[in-house]
Amino acid sequence: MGDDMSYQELVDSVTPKENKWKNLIVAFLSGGVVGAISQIFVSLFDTNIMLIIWIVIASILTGMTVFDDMVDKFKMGVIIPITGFSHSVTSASLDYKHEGLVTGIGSNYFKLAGSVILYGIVSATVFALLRSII
Amino acid sequence: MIIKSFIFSGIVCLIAQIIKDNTKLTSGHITSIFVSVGAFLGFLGIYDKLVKCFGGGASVVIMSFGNTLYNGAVELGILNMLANVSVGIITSVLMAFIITLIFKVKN
Repeated sequence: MGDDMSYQELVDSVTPKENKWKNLIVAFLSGGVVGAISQIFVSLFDTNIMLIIWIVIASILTGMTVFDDMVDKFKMGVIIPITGFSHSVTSASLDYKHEGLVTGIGSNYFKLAGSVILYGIVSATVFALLRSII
Repeated sequence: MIIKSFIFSGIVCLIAQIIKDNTKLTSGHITSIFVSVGAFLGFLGIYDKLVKCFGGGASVVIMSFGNTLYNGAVELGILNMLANVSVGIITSVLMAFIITLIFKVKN
């Protein structure tokens, strides 16, 4: 008979189970906190300053390698706000720093953020054209 | 308004987390989808109302990026649509460069 446990069962028993409900609550709360603080920044300054503050904070935390731990903990709560955009640029840049200024940093700068910019521009173009037709 | 902001961005992140946990989509896919959804909600005339109602919570999520692009495309023309998102992109680019020069990468 040999080993009764199939490989998949073994993997499942060893892999820590991610609690989906906990993930959802964490994403809601952390995303909510970011939103609430954003509103405070908006009422103190304005929307652009709010965005700048988050981008600067997220970029610095990424440089300190703190942000990756925060993503593990807070999940989409820190990815969906503008902090995630800033993180994606900074982390791509840092990851490829060792390959040089142009072929490393330059070529990979928008490796992750590129798709947000690309599909944002494409969909805004499509909808703006649609609007002008309608 | 702070509570409204909390609830709005909380729910948006919750939806993103549900998608992440139940599909094979990566964070990159989800943020790209949300940007397009934001542009679509802008097209429907909904997103500006959401920002008015929910404040900072609606401005900070990535959907707002799509809506701002759409508004820029309508108001300033498609070729000038980046004008209003310039702040976010330029700040991210400059900060990432400064941080990359300052911080050492652990490997």
